[in-house]
Formats: sequence, C-alpha cells, structure tokens
Amino acid sequence: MNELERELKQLIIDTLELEDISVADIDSHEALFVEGLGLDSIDALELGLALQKRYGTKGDAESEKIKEHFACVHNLALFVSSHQNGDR
Amino acid sequence: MSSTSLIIKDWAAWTPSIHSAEQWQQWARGQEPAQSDGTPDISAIPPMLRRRLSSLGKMALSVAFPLLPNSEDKLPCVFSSRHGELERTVGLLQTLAKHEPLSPMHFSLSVHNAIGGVMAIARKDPSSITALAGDLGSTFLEAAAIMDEQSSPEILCIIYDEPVPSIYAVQAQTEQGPGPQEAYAIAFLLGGTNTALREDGFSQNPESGHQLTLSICESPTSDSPLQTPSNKSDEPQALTFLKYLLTPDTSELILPGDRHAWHWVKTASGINASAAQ
Repeated sequence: MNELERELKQLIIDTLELEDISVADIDSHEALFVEGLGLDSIDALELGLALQKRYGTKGDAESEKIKEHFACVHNLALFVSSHQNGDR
Repeated sequence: MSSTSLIIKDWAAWTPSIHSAEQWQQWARGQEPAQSDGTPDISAIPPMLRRRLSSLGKMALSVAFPLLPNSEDKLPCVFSSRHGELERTVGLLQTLAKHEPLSPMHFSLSVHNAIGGVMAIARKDPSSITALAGDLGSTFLEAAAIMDEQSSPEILCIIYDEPVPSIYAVQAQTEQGPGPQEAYAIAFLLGGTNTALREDGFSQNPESGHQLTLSICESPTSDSPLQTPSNKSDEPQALTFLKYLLTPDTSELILPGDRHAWHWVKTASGINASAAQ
C-alpha cells in the first residue's frame, strides 16, 4: 500500500466518522460507494470537500470522470497525485 | 368546548441519569431514583447510519425504537423539539463566519426532520414523518390529526431537546424561559379511542393504556387549583406530563401555552397505571 493510499484511507475514516473501521479494513481496490465500504451520496460530497481542503483538488460533480476517480482508494490516489503533479 | 380523546399506549424516556421505566416510576413518586449513567442504546440502528446521529439524535431514537413495531408494520411519527439540532447549526454558522465551506453532512443533518429521516431509512418505513417545534399539546394535537387523516390506529410522538449552546443561553433566558437544564427524550405511543377496537393487526386492548382527553382552555391564573404538580419552570412539559401520567391520584393537568393552555383529563386508566402502584 503506498503512502498516499494509506493517508487517504485515514482521511476517509476521520472525515466520514467510520468509528469501527481501520485503515487495514479498507482494500485499495474495493468499491467505496454503495457496494464495498457502503458509502452514500452525502459521504461523496463530504469526501470531495475534504480532498479539496487537504489537496486542493477540484472535481466537477456532474462529470462521469469523477465517478471513476471516486470508485476506490487506488483511483482516488491517482486522482490526487495527478492533481498535485499538475499543480507543481 | 371541543376536545380530543387519546390513549397513551406506551412510553419510554431517557435523561443522562434516568433510563428505565422503574427509575421513572421512582422519579414520579418523588423518590430519588438510583442514578444510572451511560449512553443511549441505539444498537437497533446499523453502524453506517448510527454515525450520522448527534447526541440529540441518538437520545431521540433510543426512546423511539423500543416502542416501534419489530416487524414490517408501518407507523407514522411526530418528532417534536423546541431547538432541534442547534449544536450542528451553530457549528455551521461558525464555519460560515470563517468563510469556510460547509460540511455537506452537517448541513443535511441540521434540518428539523433529519433524525426522523435516519429512523425511516433504518426501518425502511415510508410512513409519514412530521417534525415540529411546538409544545406538548400541539404535538399531540398534530398526532391526533394525522391518525384521523391517515386512518392510522397508532402514531409515535418523540419529544426531545438539549440545553441550548452557551452562545444562545442569554437569549433563551430572556425570550421564552430557559431551555432544558438537562438533555431529555421521551416517546409516547398514541392510539385514537375510536380505532382501539380495530382488528387489523394493530388491535390493542383499549384497557392497556391511559385514556385521556385534551382540550384548550384559558391560561390558568397563578392561584388556579389545577397548576401542574411539579412547577419547576425549567422542567420540560413532556416530563411534567409523564409525572402526571404516572401519578394515579392526579386526574387533571393544565400545561400553559403562549396563547392558551392545554387541559388534560384522565378518562380511564388501565394496566399501565395500576402496575405503577
């Protein structure tokens, strides 16, 4: 598991108040929403805001691509790092 | 004067120090109940939904769930709270004041019917939910109207509040008297007297509850003989009412409102009351 993925898992747990879940419980390639971790649309908005605050990412909630970015932790890490690389 | 008849079929109440029915009976008799502490039991709610509940929501649903039917039976509900999720709202306002983006979760859960929404999702019950900020009389009147309009034999009223956040404490004192000194939640399962004999699965023995009539009257004067048995002004009306319910000798109760008062009369009192002896 790379460092960014681990960091994102901790961010998800803290932001979404997943009290009974630890970083080790989240599979980087497992679905985050509906299936898998079972997050919902409010979680998606909350997570989007947390990513924006922490990493300065901006995603268009209406676009199809954002669904792909938010599909699993692995994709989120790619999304965040591509944003960081593009920025710097 | 017109009046409404209701049956209180069951109840449950919670404060940080009093939880069980037995403790509430002691409290109603003026005894000091053995103190308990702990957190409200909301194990009936799946963890992914439970995390959405504030301390207020946990408390409210901890008294609602014991009175809800276990099965798929539908039950409309009235959620009544003077201040609702004020803690969340204050947090949002403070965020706004700092020009920071609002938390979508806190925003969506700050509305007055959010706790009822979480309950409906947890129970997969699409029955109507009403959330209001009113006194006890208007809450029960609303419940009676919903039972009548929807031909529902039962309805659950959940009444709950927390002390106001300290930033509002001065305001609350000057305008409507202080809010509750202590958090409380109380649920009443109501039935209408004209539907008590229905045989559609909800049929209940009409004897197994307190039958009361509720009517509107002039606000009582200070020397009125029907003042509430416990006149601590900071006691929530719902708790004053519970004490009245659990005190078999007291047949009438007047609870003051802004423009008029609510007059309660016990018309029949069944098993619950006698069990209280």
